[in-house]
Amino acid sequence: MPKEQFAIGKRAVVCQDTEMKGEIDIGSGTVLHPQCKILAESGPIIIGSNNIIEENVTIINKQPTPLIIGDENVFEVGCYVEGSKIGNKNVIEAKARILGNTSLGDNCVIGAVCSTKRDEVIPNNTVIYGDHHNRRTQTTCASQQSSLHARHLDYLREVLPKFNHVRIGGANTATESAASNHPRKVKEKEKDSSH
Amino acid sequence: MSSSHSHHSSSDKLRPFVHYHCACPDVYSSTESSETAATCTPLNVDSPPSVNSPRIHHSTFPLSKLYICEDCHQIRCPRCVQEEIICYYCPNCLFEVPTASVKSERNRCARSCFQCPICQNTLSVVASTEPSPATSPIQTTTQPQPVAGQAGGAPYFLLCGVCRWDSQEIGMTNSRLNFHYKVQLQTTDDERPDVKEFDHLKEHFEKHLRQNAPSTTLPTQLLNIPGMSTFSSRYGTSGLAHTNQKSDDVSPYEAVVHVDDDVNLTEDLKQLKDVNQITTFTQRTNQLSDQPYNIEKLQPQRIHLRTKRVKRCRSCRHILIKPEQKAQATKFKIKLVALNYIPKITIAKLPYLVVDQTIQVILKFSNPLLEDANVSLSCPYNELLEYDDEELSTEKLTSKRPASRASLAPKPDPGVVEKKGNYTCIAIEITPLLAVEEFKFPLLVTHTSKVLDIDTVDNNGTQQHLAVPAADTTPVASAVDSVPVEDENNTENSKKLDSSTINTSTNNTTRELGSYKSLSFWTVIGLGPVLKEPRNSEKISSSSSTTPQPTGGTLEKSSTAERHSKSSSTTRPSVSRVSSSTKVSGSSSSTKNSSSSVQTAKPLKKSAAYKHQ
Amino acid sequence: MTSTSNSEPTLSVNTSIPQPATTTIPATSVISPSSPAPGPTLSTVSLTQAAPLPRRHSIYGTGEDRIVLDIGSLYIKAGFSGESRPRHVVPIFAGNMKAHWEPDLTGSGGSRRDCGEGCRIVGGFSELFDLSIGRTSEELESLYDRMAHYLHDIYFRYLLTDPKQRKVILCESPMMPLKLKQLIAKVLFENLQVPSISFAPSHMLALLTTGCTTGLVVDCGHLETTVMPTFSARPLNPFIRTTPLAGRALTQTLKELITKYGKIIVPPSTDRQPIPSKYLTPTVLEDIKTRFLFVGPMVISSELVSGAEKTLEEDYEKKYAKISTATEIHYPITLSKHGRERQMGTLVLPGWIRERAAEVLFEGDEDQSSIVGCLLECLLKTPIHLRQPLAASILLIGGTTLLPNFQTRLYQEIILALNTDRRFKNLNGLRDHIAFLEEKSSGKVFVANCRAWVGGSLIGSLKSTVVEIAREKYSGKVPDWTTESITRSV
Repeated sequence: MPKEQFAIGKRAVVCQDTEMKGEIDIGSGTVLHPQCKILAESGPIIIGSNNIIEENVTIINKQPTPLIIGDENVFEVGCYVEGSKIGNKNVIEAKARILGNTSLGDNCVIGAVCSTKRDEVIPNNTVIYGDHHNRRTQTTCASQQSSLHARHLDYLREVLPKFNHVRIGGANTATESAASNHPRKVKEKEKDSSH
Repeated sequence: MSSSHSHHSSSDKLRPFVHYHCACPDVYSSTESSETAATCTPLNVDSPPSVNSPRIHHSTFPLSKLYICEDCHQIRCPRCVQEEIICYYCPNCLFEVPTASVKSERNRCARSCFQCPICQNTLSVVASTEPSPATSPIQTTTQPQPVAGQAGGAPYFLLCGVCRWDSQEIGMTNSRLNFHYKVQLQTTDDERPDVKEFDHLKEHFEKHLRQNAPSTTLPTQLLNIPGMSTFSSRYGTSGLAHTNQKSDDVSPYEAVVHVDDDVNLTEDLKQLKDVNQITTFTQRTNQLSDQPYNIEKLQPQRIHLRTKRVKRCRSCRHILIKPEQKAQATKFKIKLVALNYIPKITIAKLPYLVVDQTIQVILKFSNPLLEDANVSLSCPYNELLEYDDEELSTEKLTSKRPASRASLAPKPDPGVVEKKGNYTCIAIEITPLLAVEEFKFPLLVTHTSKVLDIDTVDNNGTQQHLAVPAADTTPVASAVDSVPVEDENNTENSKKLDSSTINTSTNNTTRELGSYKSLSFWTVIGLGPVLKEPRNSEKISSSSSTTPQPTGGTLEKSSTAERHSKSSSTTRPSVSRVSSSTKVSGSSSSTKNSSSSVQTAKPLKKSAAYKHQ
Repeated sequence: MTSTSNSEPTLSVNTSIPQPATTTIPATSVISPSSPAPGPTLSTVSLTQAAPLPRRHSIYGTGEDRIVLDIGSLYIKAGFSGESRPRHVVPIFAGNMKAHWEPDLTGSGGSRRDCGEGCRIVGGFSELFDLSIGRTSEELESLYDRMAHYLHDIYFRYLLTDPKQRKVILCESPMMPLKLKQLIAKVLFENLQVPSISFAPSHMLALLTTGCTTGLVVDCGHLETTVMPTFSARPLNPFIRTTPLAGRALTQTLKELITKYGKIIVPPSTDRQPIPSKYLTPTVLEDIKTRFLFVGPMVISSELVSGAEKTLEEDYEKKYAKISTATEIHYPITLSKHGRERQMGTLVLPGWIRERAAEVLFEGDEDQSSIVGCLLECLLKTPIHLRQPLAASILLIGGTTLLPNFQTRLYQEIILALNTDRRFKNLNGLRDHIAFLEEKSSGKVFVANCRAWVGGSLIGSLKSTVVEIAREKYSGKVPDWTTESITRSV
């Protein structure tokens, strides 16, 4: 039985409805929508800061080594992530699949319904798109997206707690937070509990 | 169309379908193949479409694609309608392009709608600098911030949302939001080498023509289409300049431009590492002027326009489909689609098809009309069992395909499984004989409905009623029950439907008013692959016993239905009636007078009877 | 007509367009009426012509612009006359029309296209027609259906014009089967109701695009390669030579080579396995052929070790695998597709296959001459006094000639054949005169697979009349050069 231990960073919003198992470390500012699954089955999962993980996302670590996810990524609805390392500023679109031991660089885009092969190393700035999983390399034009991302995050952090129960950091917090889940209280608690 | 057979989902290569066949009759004046029916009475049965020929794919359509011409009272398919363009619009910005500028803009949108050269998706205009964050995040409204492009600054460029290509890669940026293609694509049409060369060539030949052929009525040697030389000599008139020329050839030509071959291309190809550097043929055909191999030479093209068209019946020239003029409007001013007239046939239940196993397929017929409709079915590959006789011998083999043998029960029931609201479910028994990729059979459907005149209102308004399902207990119905069925079994040439309808007309009560219009068409029903082995034996056996009808009584009847299937030894087709519109008596009625919903059928029926228009 | 150089948007210009259909000859390159001309470029353009005139584009269907169609077995090139390139090149090789109405659920590699308002054509690759056409009437009818479908698409979805208004020019190969011509005419007249059709020989049209009227045109398409000499704008039909070594033969050879010597990597394993040929669908092969193949330089036979190998592929492998320096490439192919999930594998394509698959075009035997053999045999047939001007004006058209380095290799092969082959001893004197038209005149300004179309557009825009078949006079027969006179149609 893996030990259940969640470390939730400052300003991170983790909804109550998520399914989280194992050793999970969530960075500051990250937002997890309800109905996502983070399953650190065999090894820990370390999620960086300012990520957005949307509904129905499954992040699984089936290996003993930790799965490290970087900062400012977007995991759109329904995607499935199983890789070994994910860089920063990636966009993994709806229903995409990252299989096996794949490691993803920075600034990549895995298009909708596309999947990577198992065990490959995807370099930075790769775009996988299309029906035939075509690949190409994109140029960096990140400035546009980063500000958009920041605004997205701000919006989510403000709105999500209004409509969802939110976990607070620490192990086995599920039962505790059920009682005191008023958004304002949650925020205060978040500020208090720091890791 | 396809049904709710979830266990077929894995073999999704060949889905079951019900397609309607349109032989496009009375469209072409020249004689065509045997498939075209003469324009005689609608009761005449066409020869069945041969389900195995490749032509079947072009002449059968799902119901959604068919139209109906009310004057001709015929089904029209997309092949037998004439189209006329009424409006041109850009699919991206939905701007209606005036007809005058369509030609000059070469059927492309002039308003900065571009498509990605890599993946052919629409490009969007994006600013390359960040907008300044004017408001603090806490004060954001429930709406997210507006799109960055509006707030950001120059230079603007184009970005593809799917493959993330951007026009900065080819150096195409603009200081304003509007990308005009002439400025952006950096070569106007007239500067392109092929355009220049073409015009120079045209001038050259025009000059020659003017010199050599003073009268423009003569074709010159220049345009010597093979065979023309004899023509001109045969019909040569005076004034032929070429007879006394030494050489009527064109003067030598000097090219205006010269485009060199890409000498590095072969070397580059030889040392190629990354397959994504070479353009695909689709990408090349979007840029026909130079068709480059190198992906960096691709440029975004303007988006191709689309049209809205009016469709007309070929024979009577009536408009069948007329969309609204505005590009944004998706409605139609005139919409004569077959969906609103002929019954919709769907497969309600389809078990696995296994060789030599008799299974039951249930077809559901829904009537979209407000009046009752009568549907007769017949199948050419039917083998009838007389009441006591054995199978009839074959008369002709109309199909080489392995088919199935029908087993008919000597019961006069048409095998109706369920009748409710405006639909009726019919059971068909099929025994496939061979394991084929796809099991298809044709079914002739004759649909008769009453076309009411305005002033004839019929109180009890029974329309024609033919053989009646056993579930129905109306007295009139049962009176005619056995008669037609027997009749059909005994007719020799039961290919014709007139026997059946003659029967009905004699049995009709005198209450009908208005005229009956009848329309017959073939449908091709495909049921998916036939397996050799049953996948799951209990499923097969259970499926035949569970049929979705309300009472157990009808089960037997349907299981012994006379529904037919095919047999390689085909005999004559049998005519069997399916549903009949029954009288008003409160039984669950058949294809009836409901407008669309099933639930409202009964109350409507009781109150207003058949006063529908 | 005024020069519209400084005019604003399109609308104001076009209101002035409806002049009567006077056949004024537009001088040369025109500024299209809608250009909001940037200043400097305009002046450079105007230097090259006498008086800029707007193009003679009439949307009112006064018949000035004709539709030019070049119907091949794999692609239809379509556009309007007076333009320098076709508007669209439409692939027409989806054979399985059953899936016309159904979504694409079949296996790997099917070509998908929207054929109109939401339909998709899927799957099986098959040429529109084959050389041996019309063996059964059912085949003809099926071809009629397909042709009607594609031509309808071309008019209403690509060219966006009403067929009843514009005359049609068809570029035909002189070897086009008569039945096919009749069928095309039938579709156009009965189904689409065009006002008139003209057939024009595509070799001659292609030649016109170079400005010369004498030349030896080699059309290397998909089904066959045709060599036709033309002298002074007269096509010399009796001297035509054809060979089936063309695109289709190349694809076939490519498939065999890959099946034997290519490898596939199926994830999750990383080792290379031999390829089952079901993955090499025609669409995949067509893609490889158009993108990665090129023609290697000629290898002198002394360097080759050519033994009596059993099959062509083994022969090639023995000869070329070691000396080729082309890189191998990793090409992603679809292994299977279930619903939306697509399994991709990697095809490892050896470099020597890329370089040498096209060798099949240059190796002929008694049954089918190579392209070079075809060309030289044609020269042998022509009268002696014509041979030199013809040999000095060789023009290559057709899609297969777009392979990089094709022309150079062809030249080398011709010289070699002239020097060594006994059959062409008589042509030896031409050795120094062999030249390609494109080099002399305008080069690759028109891409080879569109040249015939461009020629059709050229004659469509000239003032004089061409032989037409009008719809009223159409009775099911079309004229052809094989008939004695035009009045006696076939």
